[in-house]
Amino acid sequence: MEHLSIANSFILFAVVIALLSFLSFQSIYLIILTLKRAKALDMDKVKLKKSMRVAAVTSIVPSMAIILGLITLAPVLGLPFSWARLAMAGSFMYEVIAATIGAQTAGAAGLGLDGYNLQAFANSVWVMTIGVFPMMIFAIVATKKYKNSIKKASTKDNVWAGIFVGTIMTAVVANFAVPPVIKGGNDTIAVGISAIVMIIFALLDKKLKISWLKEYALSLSMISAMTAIVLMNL
Amino acid sequence: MDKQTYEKKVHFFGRISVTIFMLGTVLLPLTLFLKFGILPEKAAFFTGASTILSVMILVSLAEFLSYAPIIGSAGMYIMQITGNTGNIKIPASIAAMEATGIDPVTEEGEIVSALSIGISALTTEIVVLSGVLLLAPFRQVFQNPALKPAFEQIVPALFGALIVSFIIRNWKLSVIPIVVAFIVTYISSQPFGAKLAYFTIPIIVIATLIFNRIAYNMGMLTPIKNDRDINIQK
Repeated sequence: MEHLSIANSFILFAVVIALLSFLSFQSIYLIILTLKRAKALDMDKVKLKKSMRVAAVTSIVPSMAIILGLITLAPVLGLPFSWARLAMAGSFMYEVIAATIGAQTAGAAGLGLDGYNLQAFANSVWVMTIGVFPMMIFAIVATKKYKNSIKKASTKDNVWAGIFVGTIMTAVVANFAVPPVIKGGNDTIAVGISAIVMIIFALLDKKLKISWLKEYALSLSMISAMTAIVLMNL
Repeated sequence: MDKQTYEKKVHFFGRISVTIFMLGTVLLPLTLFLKFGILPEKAAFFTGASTILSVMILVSLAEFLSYAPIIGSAGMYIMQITGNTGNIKIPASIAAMEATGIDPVTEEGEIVSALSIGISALTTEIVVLSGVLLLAPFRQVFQNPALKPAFEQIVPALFGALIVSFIIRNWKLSVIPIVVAFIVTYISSQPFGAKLAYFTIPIIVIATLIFNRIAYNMGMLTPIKNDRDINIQK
């Protein structure tokens, strides 16, 4: 693994920090812009704060999974690349697939396996970088047009627009919720327990009207399911 | 700020920032070349790049088309460069919408989803940064054999709870997406349907939209009850 001393060099850390700083700046700028628009609309401040709090809380646990990805990738790709890739466009699954394609097309047996030399490593990095270009290009060329055409369509029939958006949301959630139900083992236990705990919270919310519960129900259901998995595997 | 100015600013800044970032990501592999003189072999690079692009163009397009209707434009620009869409950002946005009871079709919904995506992105950056800084202690926790299975089940635990909240809120809307998700998941788990695995999201979205449109025309679906105080037109 001769590439690791290069992969962990200071200059790469510097580039990564610059890139991720830009990423955070973009988020912050768009948040400020959107808050200004919310103010002009005279939106309920309590609701805005609540929505941001819920978004932050809901993101914490799934983001922990990225650290697990970091622990897996860093010994092969070095820390700066693993950090950069996992904190930007893509996901752990994507990065592993792309890096492996890069390794194999460069003649290595696999990621970090036989033949994973400097060229194979460089190829992994190039392939991972280029593979997410389509995602960003679609954002650049199509967001405005596509969003406008959706809005136009939704003003025609407001009732259907509500169902249209609700259907897409439910379909996306079902796409992730159903496979673990079928898969069996820990997957099924996790999806089942978290669903049951959520039902309990919903009942409590309805009966006792505990408003903070709604905010944390999702995260608490997740943590309950994960705790149950730990206990069952002891 | 009026609606038009806001949207103009979002699209202008969004497009430019995504373009800059996309070109910026090339700095990583470029540093390998400029500083260390490492370049992959041409043949390996072209094979690798075309392999990943052949998959990612379609996957990214499908995700873009599926997610854009449920995420405000500002959120789309953030999401397309920060990644981790299905596993972190979409659930964070949906959870924020659920907790505040804001209608996703309205401009308020656009604003809440954009804010959620931004906050979610920043949260992930912070969590991953702490992971990088505390890699050694985290490694011990995450690789602890007792805890590891729990971290592998984050996604099922997240979506189990999320699907329940959808069913409770509008079960009529959820029936078809869940049934379709079961069918698509089953088919893609069979040898003849393995290629479908990358495209389950758009397949489920399109199929459920068709069926729910039919159900809507037959008068079987009612819109989600939320406050509709601010109309999308405003």
